[in-house]
Amino acid sequence: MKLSLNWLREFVDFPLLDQAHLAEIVVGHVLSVQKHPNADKLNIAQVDVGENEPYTIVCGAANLKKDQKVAVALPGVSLPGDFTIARREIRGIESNGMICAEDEIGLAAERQDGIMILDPKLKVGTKMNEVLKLSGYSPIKLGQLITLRTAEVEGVELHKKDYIYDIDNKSLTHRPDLWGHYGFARELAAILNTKLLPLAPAPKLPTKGETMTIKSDSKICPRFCSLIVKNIKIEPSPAWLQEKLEAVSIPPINNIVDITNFVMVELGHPMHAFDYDKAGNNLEIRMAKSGETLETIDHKTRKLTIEDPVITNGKVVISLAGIMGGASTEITDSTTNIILEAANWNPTTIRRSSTTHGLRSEASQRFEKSLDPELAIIALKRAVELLQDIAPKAEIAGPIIDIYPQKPKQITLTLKHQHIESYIGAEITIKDSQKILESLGFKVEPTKSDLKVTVPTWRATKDVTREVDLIEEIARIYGYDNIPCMLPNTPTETPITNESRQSEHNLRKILQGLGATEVYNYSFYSKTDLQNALLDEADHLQLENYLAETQTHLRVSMVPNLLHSIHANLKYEDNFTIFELGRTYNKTADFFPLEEKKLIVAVVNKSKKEQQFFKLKGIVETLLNQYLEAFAINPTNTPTPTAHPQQVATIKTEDHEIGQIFNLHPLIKDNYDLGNHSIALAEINIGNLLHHKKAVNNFQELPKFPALDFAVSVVVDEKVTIQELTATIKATDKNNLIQNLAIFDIYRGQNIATNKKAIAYKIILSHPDRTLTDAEMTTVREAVCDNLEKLGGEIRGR
Amino acid sequence: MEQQLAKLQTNTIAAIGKTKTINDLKDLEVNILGRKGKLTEILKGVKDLTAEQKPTIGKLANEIKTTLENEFEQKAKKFKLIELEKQLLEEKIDVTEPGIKAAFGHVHPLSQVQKEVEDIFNSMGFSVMDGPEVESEYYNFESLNIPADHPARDMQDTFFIKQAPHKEHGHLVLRTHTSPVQIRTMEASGAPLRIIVPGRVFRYEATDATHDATFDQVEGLMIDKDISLSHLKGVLTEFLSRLFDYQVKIRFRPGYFPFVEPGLEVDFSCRFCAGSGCRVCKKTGWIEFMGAGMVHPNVLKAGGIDSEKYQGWAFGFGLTRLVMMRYNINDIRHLYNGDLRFIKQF
Repeated sequence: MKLSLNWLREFVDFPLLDQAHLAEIVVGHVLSVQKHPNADKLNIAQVDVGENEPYTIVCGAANLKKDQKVAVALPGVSLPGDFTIARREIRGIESNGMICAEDEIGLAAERQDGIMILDPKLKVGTKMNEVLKLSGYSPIKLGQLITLRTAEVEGVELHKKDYIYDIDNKSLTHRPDLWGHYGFARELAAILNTKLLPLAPAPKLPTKGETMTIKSDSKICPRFCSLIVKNIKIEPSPAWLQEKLEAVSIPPINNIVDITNFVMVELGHPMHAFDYDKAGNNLEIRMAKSGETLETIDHKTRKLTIEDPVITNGKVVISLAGIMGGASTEITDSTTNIILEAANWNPTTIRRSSTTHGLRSEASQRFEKSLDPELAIIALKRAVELLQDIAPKAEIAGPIIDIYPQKPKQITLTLKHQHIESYIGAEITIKDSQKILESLGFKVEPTKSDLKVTVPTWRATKDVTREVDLIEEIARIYGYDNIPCMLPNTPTETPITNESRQSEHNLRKILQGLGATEVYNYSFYSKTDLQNALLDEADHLQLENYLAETQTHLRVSMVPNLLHSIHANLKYEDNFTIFELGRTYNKTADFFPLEEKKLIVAVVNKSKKEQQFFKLKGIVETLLNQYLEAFAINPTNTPTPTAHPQQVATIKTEDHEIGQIFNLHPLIKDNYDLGNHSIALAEINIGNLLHHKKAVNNFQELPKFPALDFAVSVVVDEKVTIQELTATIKATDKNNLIQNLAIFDIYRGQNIATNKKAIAYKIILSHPDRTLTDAEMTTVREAVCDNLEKLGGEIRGR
Repeated sequence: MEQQLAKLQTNTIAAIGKTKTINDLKDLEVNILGRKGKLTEILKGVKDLTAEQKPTIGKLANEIKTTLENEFEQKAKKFKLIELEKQLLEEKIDVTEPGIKAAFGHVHPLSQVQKEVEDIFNSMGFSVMDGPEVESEYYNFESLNIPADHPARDMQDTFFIKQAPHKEHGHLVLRTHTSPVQIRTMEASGAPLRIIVPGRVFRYEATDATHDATFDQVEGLMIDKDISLSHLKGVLTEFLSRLFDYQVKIRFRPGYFPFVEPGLEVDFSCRFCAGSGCRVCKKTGWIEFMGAGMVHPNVLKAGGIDSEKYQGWAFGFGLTRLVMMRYNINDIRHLYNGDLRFIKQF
């Protein structure tokens, strides 16, 4: 919303320092004066303005002399007449500013012969406004004050001889009183501690005359004020009125429409004018019936619903009430008689209707903030006053028709002084509090230690209803910048540590150490994605409204979005490990979905031949070892849909599955154009994992006696798993001598039959209390070999 | 014989000095001290000496032998040293060849900054909390003093989930802010409270270089018996000063958020121009950073906290924006697209 400083000043008086440039012109000391080598009439002066180095300034004034004190405008300073000082070369010498004459800085109207010579006692660097003892608020300073005390000023612009403030509408969401100049003038009066001039239009009105039948509904329209005016000539508004509207970016249309807009901009209350001859004198306010339509003045035909508040002429809808008028009763050049309307509309009704129609007009955005019903009559009277001024021939045909069945109740609040200070954290006396509230129009009655406060009508509709709302008024006018900075006492208990969060950060560090890089992806994907990843749509939550077709479903799997990342990164990288921590959202029978924290790790190799599964398995094992005392990675019959069904393992802790490691399903690989690459994935539910606290191990005595070891190489059928082989070896160890067994080679190929593999184990034996004998080792070895042979294995070299 | 021995010593020392290679030296040593060497040769004459002369000459011969052996050893060491130096020179490697890459990944900048924020608040006694990202209208709006049809709902355009609404909870939505966790924590723990809530939030808004429909926020909440706006100023100044590692000034100005009263916008002094005005702060010297205020009594009530006994403040800021500011990132979309060329810079 735009505000004109001149307009504001019609209601509130304060000293204005509009010669803002004087605050940028400084006192300089002329250190030396030399003749310009290339110009007879020019001199080169060295001028000290209180900075480290003096400035070199080329000057043509004949009265310039060494040791004078002068007024200096440095580069960047704007002078009256839209002239900005710049560093520039004058006949081969760089000049860094201007030594000013009175007329050049707006202190004299006549052209001066020489520069302005100042009192030699002045200190260099002093600003000219201080020298001239000019006080007041510059337009910029006022803008800052409005920002700090009331609402955000997004910009200040010079417009002819006025300054225009651009207010951020968002910062007025809760302030029905600030949608016009008068409301802001009231704020300025409070901020600057000065008087607000009253606005009480009192035009002469007939007590009898032409009237209308109006059937209203106070739920839709708490107050409806209207008036019939005849003998109007529709013509352009006078220049002064047009200029005022243009200054705040409202285009002038004609005298009547301009008056309604003027009142809206001045008081913040929207108005409407109907062509009386077309509207008739029988109006009805009601909700629309389904099937009704209206062509609004923007010439769009709108289908109405039972959610739309309308005004009818008793038969058809002539206005979308409080939002936009209808084309059929619009003011045109041939209009001669009008109805002026200033009504107060139900904010919820207006908001719903304007949202449905996607129609946010100047009027609707004001009404939806809950306007003061007392303002309606003032607005109408102000409009009449203006009309009588600019169209004196117009005839007010009758008295004001004011339908106002129920005045809202007055709000009176108790404000405890102790609450003010405890909330704000600053010492503010009860007297100052009272003064602030009164300056904003509140009525205050001090009791012993408290204040009894009556809220003015323009703040009572929604904005100020509780004690804290009053504290806000005091705090902001007192000045948030005046509140001291204090640290609260530290609590005696240490904060509850969020194990899960800390674990997440640790997990990132571990994975980083294992060579993985973290990525973030969005929480949604498309229907195509879930189909391509062989997921079931029924598990998904879907967005009712979405921004892109690629973001319609909430993820139940971290896989699809990560595959997009993998695909994109394969353009630049041949092999990489990436991970993501995030949530999945599964539809359940309950209202709230199941949100789970997931970790997905992917090991990617550009070459299809490079098996990545075991590299990933190693990473997962290393990672899980940091969190769990025990876990198992085993084959599974219930693979996740994104897994290759024969290249998948489940990760289990004691009681339940926490995730799976797998190579990506070949169909999905093709769907994501990843068929030529090798991709292993692990998706792990980390929710429980992160809460789990790894038990503290007891120290185990280091072995005192030397260990013996031997190697066994066995050729077995591919069907025999490593798990089975290892279990078989362990089963032979009746005396608990095997301290460790490790596979050091797995071989397939030459000299080994197809469908067979050679596995080489190194087995380490030891005894806690004595040195083992060779005979004991031989016994174990024989037993191991026997058992492996029973499993169908062939012991190499036996 | 004495003279012969003395001469042998002098000549040999001179000869050692002249040797050029270790082999010459070895040959010389054999020639002089070997079994058939010159010393042995001379000592053959001992048998012709008198009994008196024998011990004297024997002693002398031993001394000379020791001296010469020492000389040979010294010279041999010199040769070995030269040899070693030569060898070392030959073994020179090109240390400018690249190192063998150790596997080490990167933690996403959002995670890094989030941890820093958590650590600072943790040290000031705040706990880190979590809550659901798919929320009900009740928790996201009503409980935070934003009733249906409130204009403030426009400020936070919302993603709705296709699912029948709940009688008390309303529709299911993607949370538009981390504030619902305020209520959930109040319900679970009551007062007093000091928490922060970093987390992902969603807005149904067109995306551009500075706005994404997905971003991360940090919510803060402090409730106790005598918590005031001056404490908010203190805590935020401390937090930002530690985060940016310079003495930050902060500025409050009026703002509107239905869940706080008074409501504030919080700016901090621009770190690039130290408040004198630059491109980053749009010449104002201040950077708009967060919304804050005293928790509205209706919100405390919704969380089951007695607003007559307890009061406090809340704040919320964009973690994503903070990350962009810290690293001078010009497009928010880099943060959520998984491009390793981007993440590897951190």
